[in-house]
This record gives sequence, structure tokens and C-alpha cells, in this order.
Amino acid sequence: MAGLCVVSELFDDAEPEIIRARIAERLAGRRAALVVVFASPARGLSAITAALDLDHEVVVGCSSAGEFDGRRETKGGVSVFAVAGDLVATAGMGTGLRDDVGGAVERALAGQPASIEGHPHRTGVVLLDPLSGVGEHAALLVAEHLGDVPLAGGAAGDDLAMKETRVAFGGHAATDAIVVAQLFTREALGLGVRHGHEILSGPLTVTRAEGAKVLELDGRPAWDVWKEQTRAAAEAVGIDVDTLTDADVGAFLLRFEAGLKVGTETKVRAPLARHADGGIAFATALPEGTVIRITESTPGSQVQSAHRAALDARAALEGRPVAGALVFDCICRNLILGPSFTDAVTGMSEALGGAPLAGFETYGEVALHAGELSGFHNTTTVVLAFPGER
Amino acid sequence: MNDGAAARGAARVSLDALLAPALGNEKALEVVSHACRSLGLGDPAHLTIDQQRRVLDALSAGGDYVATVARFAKARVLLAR
Repeated sequence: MAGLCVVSELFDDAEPEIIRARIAERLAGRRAALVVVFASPARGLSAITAALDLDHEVVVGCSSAGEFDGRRETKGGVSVFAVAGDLVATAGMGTGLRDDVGGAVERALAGQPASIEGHPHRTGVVLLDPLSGVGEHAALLVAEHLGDVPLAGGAAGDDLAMKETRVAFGGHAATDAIVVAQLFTREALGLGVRHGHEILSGPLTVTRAEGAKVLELDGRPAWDVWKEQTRAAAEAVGIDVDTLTDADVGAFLLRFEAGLKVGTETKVRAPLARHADGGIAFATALPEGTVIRITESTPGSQVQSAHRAALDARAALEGRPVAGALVFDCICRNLILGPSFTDAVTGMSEALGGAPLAGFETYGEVALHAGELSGFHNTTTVVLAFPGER
Repeated sequence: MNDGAAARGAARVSLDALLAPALGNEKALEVVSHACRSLGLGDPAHLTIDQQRRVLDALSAGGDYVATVARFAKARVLLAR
């Protein structure tokens, strides 16, 4: 991938025109093929993507729950990733995800090419609204449309408010929407995905559910069961499950997530919000009859899993150096690590050889290697590495 | 399917294992077992590839999440054989 130029920049507090000028400066005036923006809801996603769209080919983004580069993280900020050079990017956005997931995915992919001459490798990047509750469904439909193409991406955040998350394409941002970008490259990108959660509870069966909302577990209100099963572990980290306020519930649920047994492994599903009826809303569907186990994680395994995801992505480049990387990292890691989250960020940077990286704290992640059968994750770190010249 | 003999032979991967990554082990086994009973097929663990295809066709018929998971598994695995 000759001549690839990747830059990343983290802004604590900057106006769209300042961000635009800084990215142009970092690219030395080059027009990026792809710009990805992760912005706190406090920052005005559409204004930022609209400003960057004036200078670059394809600009996509989403709202976030924390932003970082390879050195540090911030809250209420903006993280920008830009790549110029020998790759071709296309993208689209589809709205109406909750009620018509298939239609939304088709609209996001409408008019996008299946191939670009001279760029034999194709990678999909997916950004979606997790509050629509169709994370896995949408990821599988994108994969079905694209064929055996690796996918990476993330579910937008909203600084843990759990009210409204947005994705953006060009200067337009929308809720209840999905953005699908395609990257056509001369060499394959590297994808890594890992989580650091372990089983806490015994098996719990979803006995009543409506889409992504689980109303009952083992015949009892889901929230009551969640409190009961996590009480001791929560107490050990200073959380009293009986006095949680509405504002605290999102963060609590993202520490103690649901796990599906897949063979001997555990695949995590994120609970996002408590409902007044005792139900719990998830980022993707959990049909009645699904058996879950509540999970937890230690700070050490959170740092280690992020590092391993970065190493996996780098290894997938088969000896080529890393030119830069996009990182989609579950907000749970930040909640568990607190100020030590910086250790996870710098660990990933070190594993990627110090290449520029930009990332955000997600409510879900997308990662699908060719041939795999599930693409939506929670609690993971997903790293998409771009190859440099040997 | 490239080989007619293989189409009639025993499948090497169980259907519930194909669906488990999106549904979990237990739900995957439940939907496959239910579909097998509806189709009058035997033990889900001992289906031929043709029988697996019939089960996935049945599961894919709806427009819900399980249907998408089944259709995806069929496209990615059975049709790739």
C-alpha cells in the first residue's frame, strides 16, 4: 500500500473549523480517502463531519462515550482518523434501523461498488445506533450483502446517557441509523478482537422478551434477577445494587454484561438500560429461550485483552508495519479501569508499533473475519490496522 | 454444493454449532431441534447436508432475527461447501 498516509488527532474542545484546519495541516494538504470522526454528543457530530467533508473524499462518524488516541483518552472530545493514499473508500447511510433493519442496510449499501480495479482487498466498516436494538441482525445483513468480507466497526455512544446515539455520513448525522463504509485496498487490513470477561452467574433463561428488550429471566423480572446475581460482585467494587439511580444504571449494566455460551467460549451481549417495567434493553435481540450468564471482568484482564487485540491486528498484516489503526473499544473497559484506562490505550499503541490510532468508547463492536458466523460483540476491543510499506 | 455424494452424506458440522455464535449454544440447539421435529427429521446431531439445508430453509422462512442468522449460516457454510 504505497504512499499511505495516516494521521490521528484527539481534540478536547475544538470548533469544527479548527478541527478541519488541523487535519488539513497534518495531511499537508492531501485529500484523505477516508476520514472517521468519533465525537461526544457535546461536540456536534454533523457540524464536524460537514466541515471535514469539504476537504476529503469520504467522511463518516458517530457519537461516542469517550474518545482516545494512542497516548490518552478524553471525555466530551473528538477523535479523528484520516487516511490518504492508495486506497478507495465508499460509504452510505440508511435510517429506520429499528423497524426495518433490512431496508436500512440496503439503503446504506445502495450504489456502492462490489469491487475496485487494482484494489483486490475489501473491508467493511460499520457504525450503527445500538439503541435501535438490532446490532447483530444488522451486522449479519451487512455481511450477507458484502459476501466474505471482513467487517470492523462500532456502536455509537452518548456519554452514558443511553438516550440518543448518532451516526454520520458526510455532513448528515442521524439516529436510528447505520453507516457502512467500504475500504478497497491493495493489501489486506489487519483485524483483531478480544474481550476480557468471565462468567459470574449460573445459566439464566430468557423467558419473556420483545426484540432487544428482555422482560423476564427464569420467569422473574429481569432487573430483579440482575441485581440478585450481581449483588456480591458489585459490592466488592463499591456498588450497592439497591441504591442505583437511573443515571448510574447504564454504567452498572456495562460492568456486568450478559454472556452467551458459544462452544466453550463466551460471547458477550450488552445490557444498556433498565425499564420501568423491570425489563432490560440490550444492544441486540435475545429471543425467548436464549440462555445467558452474567459476566464480570478484572482490570488486569481488560488491559491484557486490549493489548492482545492490537497484537492480533498487527500479526494479521503478516510482517508489514502498521501505518495506523482504528480502535472500537467497549465503554466497559473504561468503566472498569477508571484512570488506568490510559494503560490500555498506551498498551495498544505499543502493540501497534506506535502507529497513529484513533478510537472511541462504544456500546457495542463489530468484528467479523471472513467465514465467521457472528459479527456483533460487546465488551471487546476491535482493532483495524492499516498496513504500511515494508 | 459441488459434490452430489457429499450432499447425501453426513454433515461434518452440526447445525446448532453453526447458529451458536449468534444465538448461544442452548438457543441454537432449541431452534434446530424444533425445526427437526416439525420436518419429521431425526436427531439434529446426525443430519445429512441435505437435511441441514432443509432445516435452514425452514428457519430462514421468517423475517425475524433467527431467520437472518439461519440464512447467513446457510450462505456462509452450506453453500460454500
